[in-house]
Amino acid sequence: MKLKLLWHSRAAILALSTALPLLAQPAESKPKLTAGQVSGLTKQLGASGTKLYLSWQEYDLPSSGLPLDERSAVVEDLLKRYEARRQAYSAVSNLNSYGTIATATVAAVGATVLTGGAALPVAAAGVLGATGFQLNGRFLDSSEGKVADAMVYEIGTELVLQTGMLDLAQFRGKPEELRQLVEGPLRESDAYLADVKARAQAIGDQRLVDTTIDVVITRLALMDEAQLRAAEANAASITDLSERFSLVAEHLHQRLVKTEVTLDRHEQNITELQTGMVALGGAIVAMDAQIQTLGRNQTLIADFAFSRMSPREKADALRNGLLDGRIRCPKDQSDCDVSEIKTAMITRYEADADLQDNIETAGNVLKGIHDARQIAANLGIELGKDAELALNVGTAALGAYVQFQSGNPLGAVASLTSLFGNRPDPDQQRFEAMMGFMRQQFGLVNAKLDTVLENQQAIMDGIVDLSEQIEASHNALDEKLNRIDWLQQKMDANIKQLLWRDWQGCNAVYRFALKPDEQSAPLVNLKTLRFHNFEALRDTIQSKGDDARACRATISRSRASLFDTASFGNFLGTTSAFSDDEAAAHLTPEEFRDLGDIRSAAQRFTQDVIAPQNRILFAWLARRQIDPATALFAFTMPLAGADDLAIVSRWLEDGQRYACPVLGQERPEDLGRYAISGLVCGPQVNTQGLASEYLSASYSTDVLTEITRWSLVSAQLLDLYSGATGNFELDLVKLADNSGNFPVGRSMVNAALDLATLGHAFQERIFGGLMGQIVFEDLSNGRATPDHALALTSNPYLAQNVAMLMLRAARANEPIIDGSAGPSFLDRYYQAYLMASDPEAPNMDGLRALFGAAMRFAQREDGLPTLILDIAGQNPALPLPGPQQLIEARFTVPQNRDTLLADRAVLVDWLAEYDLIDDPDLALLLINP
Amino acid sequence: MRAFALRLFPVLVWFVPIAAIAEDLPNFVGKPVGDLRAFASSQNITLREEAFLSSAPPDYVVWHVPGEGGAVGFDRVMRAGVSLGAEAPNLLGAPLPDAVAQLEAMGLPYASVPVAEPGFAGEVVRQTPKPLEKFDASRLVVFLAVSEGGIAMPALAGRRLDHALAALRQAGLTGAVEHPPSSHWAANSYEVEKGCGSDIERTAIVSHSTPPQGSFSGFEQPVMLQYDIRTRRINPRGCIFRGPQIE
Repeated sequence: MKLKLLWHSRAAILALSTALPLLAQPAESKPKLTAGQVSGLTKQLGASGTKLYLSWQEYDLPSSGLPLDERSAVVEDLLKRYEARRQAYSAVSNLNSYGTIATATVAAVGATVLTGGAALPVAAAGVLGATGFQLNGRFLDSSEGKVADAMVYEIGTELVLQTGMLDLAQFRGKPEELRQLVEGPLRESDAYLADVKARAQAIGDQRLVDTTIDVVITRLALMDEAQLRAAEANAASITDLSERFSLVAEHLHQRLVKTEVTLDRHEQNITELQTGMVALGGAIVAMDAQIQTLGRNQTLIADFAFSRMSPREKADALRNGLLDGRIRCPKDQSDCDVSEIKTAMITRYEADADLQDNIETAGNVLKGIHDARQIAANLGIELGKDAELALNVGTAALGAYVQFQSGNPLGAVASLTSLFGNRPDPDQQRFEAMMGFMRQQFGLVNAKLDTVLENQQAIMDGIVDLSEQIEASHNALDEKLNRIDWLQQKMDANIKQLLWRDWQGCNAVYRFALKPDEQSAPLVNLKTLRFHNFEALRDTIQSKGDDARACRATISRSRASLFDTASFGNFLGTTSAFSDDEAAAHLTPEEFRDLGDIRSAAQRFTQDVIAPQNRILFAWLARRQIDPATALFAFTMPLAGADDLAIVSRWLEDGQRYACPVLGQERPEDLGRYAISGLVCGPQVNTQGLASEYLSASYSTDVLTEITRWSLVSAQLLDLYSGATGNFELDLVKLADNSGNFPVGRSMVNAALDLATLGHAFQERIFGGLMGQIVFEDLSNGRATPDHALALTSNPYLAQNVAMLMLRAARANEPIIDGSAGPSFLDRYYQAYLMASDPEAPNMDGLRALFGAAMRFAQREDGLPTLILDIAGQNPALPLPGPQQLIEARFTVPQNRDTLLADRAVLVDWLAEYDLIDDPDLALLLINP
Repeated sequence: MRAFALRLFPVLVWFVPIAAIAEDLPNFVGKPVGDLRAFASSQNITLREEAFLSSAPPDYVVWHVPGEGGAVGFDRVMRAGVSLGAEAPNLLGAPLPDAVAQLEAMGLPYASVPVAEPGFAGEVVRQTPKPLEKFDASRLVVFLAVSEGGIAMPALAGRRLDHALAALRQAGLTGAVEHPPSSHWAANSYEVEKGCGSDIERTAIVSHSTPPQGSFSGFEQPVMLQYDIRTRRINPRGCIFRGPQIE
């Protein structure tokens, strides 16, 4: 009876209706940003940067105006555009009707340099997760919502009177004080939540009470007058209110418990991942040590290690004796034991395979795009078909894969498709704010999330370390093939600084961000190179603003003349960068000597590799009537093997040619053309002339990798730089108002991306499959010249790729893997390869039997079997591909090609952050979901 | 009854594990014999191996009795055929068709390649694996090097031209000729001219051959012998004739 009276107390209603909305009002000191300003900032700083910097201090941000049921579609569209953009920069979009270029090898070796990509899809997926959570809040259906509101109203009304809070306005802006005031009575008094408390007692979980109290207090602080009046009416009409509310609370509680369990499982998986990584790291070290004992006999191991088999397949193949009798210890190597090598290799690949299984399991539990996909990519692991589908951002398959019903808000990247048809009702919408708040409030879940995220970060760091280990291991094997002096030269830091002195500004910013002084920690995340927070960025600007300006000038100037030896592009042309006197003044005598070695190696590389290959290339272009831009475009495609090459060749043979995209007429199928549009397109630009220059220039991958890193750091400073005023703008509100005037950071990232594209095109041009095909065509058609002989003699990567094409052509009339009885072609080639590399009695009968008696083979002085050509009186010896490589038709390229490609992918991601969020409501959704 | 039970007990105790093995005996065919040995040892089974040549990999089980799912008898003995691998037959000198027929009859995979090496045309001059060598026929083939027909050029330098030509023609190199051409010296590479004071001996001696010594020459291939005419005085005696002196 007393309660009944209280419900109808006008005083209570008035107190609640006037005071509670005020509690939710923002603090007066918060700077306010409009949707347009947030959108401007996003274009200026990128989505991740904007989000990071806005967290520096509290801003009053509006909510996205997008209706709930449209959010998923908008975000999905964003993700689709993002995927299209990524595809465009692997330049395959235009070739879609011809097939898909395999880029598996790109990830096969740890992409170790940067791991800062994919920030945009992660942010977007977070929004999808939130959206899914909101939409999935339907379990609080209309009647349940009414029950909860009515109960909250009832309790709230009573509390107002019982606690003497006649004027709740005094709690304006102090929700925590309101919490303190009402939590005690709610928790301690038998009068409140009696039914819930009894249920908690019965199930032995007091957290049910915590959950319920959170619901009441949160809802109390959010209800406006209209809602209060509606709740009052509902309260009068609902029977068994207390009991029904308990059911709602219990339902909610169960969800949270399930979420905790899910997170526990994920945490356990992460722990297993960490254990797996440690095991793999140890196994790699052990295997490397064993393989070292093989000395020059490592060739077949390298062939096996680089093969496309999965780790499990490799372990199985080894166990089934694939390399038995094929690995041979040197006679003078007493500590070499073939069985130990085999055991170490099996252990290593099994550890790898186990780790892959664990990653899949982790993916199944959390379905986290960020961790599973990134880990898999860094390790070159192919996820299972289902997992890959699920992780394909923005596809409906995600929804099927991820179920909110598992009680996992993180994993609620949503059964979006099935939800589109269900429009949320008003009750649900009223609960959304509360649900969102609760999500942040439940301590246990949050703590677990923190742990999981912390562990995930540790995993990421571990992955990078592991990738570096794998890369080092692969590089060690690669060295057996690599006989190009220039590629083996390691430059001392001082020489680098001298060589790139025009870039000192960029380098200075980079070094400061990494190490402001002896005592301070890095200001950027070493893996992603993003500044930790706005203060770190501001400090760097204050200390190194001038250097950043200089960096901007350098990259602007250099970009205009990327092929110009003197200013930027040709890092191989060390002689022209500075005089001997200058070098001597800056370097120690030892460094000066090293510089001499580097210069002569670079000179040899230019004379023996680049110059003859350029002549071969341009003759081929003229003969085939292919313009330079088309050739440059073709060289931007990473060709993993002969299958990819066939796609590109067909594309060229069909008369397809590169054309600059027309501004304002972009078609999705033309996206690929953007891969080089920044380099060769533009008003009054001589596209073919520029492309021709780029096709003639030469670049160092190592240099480009470093410059990419410098550029990313400087670009973050220059995001705040106005070219018009020459100043940095540190006030985000002012920056937002003038966002159109600050395109410098984006243009810097764009320039770095162009550099990386050029670098990769250079690598493909010198070492890759298309160049191999060009040389092979010339040889087959009697057009070989001394240039061909010189290039094949000096460039072992090209030589091996040409040898592979020749061997496959020799077998063209027979299947490369014959299905006839007896040993497979792989076994036959293994046997022939071993006969030919026998150190005491090399025997070429097997190779000639397999590939034709007209072919000449011989053993090189290091034991490698080679194919001997006769070109203009010279006899270049082409190293034969290993058995796995021949079967897989895989091209050989220097390992650092993969590092460059991985860096390039990161740059594409950064650029997408600036470009793809064109709608203010979408920007708000990402920044303030 | 009790006595019967007492007698039966040890039999039962002995029989129980056998019954368990009999039902679970795995298939070892196509597996390394080491696996079978380890299994036999763990089950207290005596393994009797019979090694024989087969196209299966060496040291792999080709058959075993009892087979998969079979029962080990009271003697607890298993018999197994273990591959020694294949043995390459000796095909050196055999005509290729004969060699192929032999290999096919043995079920051994092969591949052949013509080589410009001494031998009769179509004759196997080299094989890998070597004759009588054991090998894994599931992974290796017998590579046959088959001569295109010809000989290895013998050492001819220093020999009389006519003798050298005769030897080459006898070996089948009908295209062997002298250079510079001289039917006189090719037919008879030795002559003596009577002279005053001493006789003069002239001999056509091969200086080198094309192809050179040790290299291969097909039967149809031209062979050229270059020669010098060497002279010397023989049979010194007194002479009153004073004519022009021959050096």
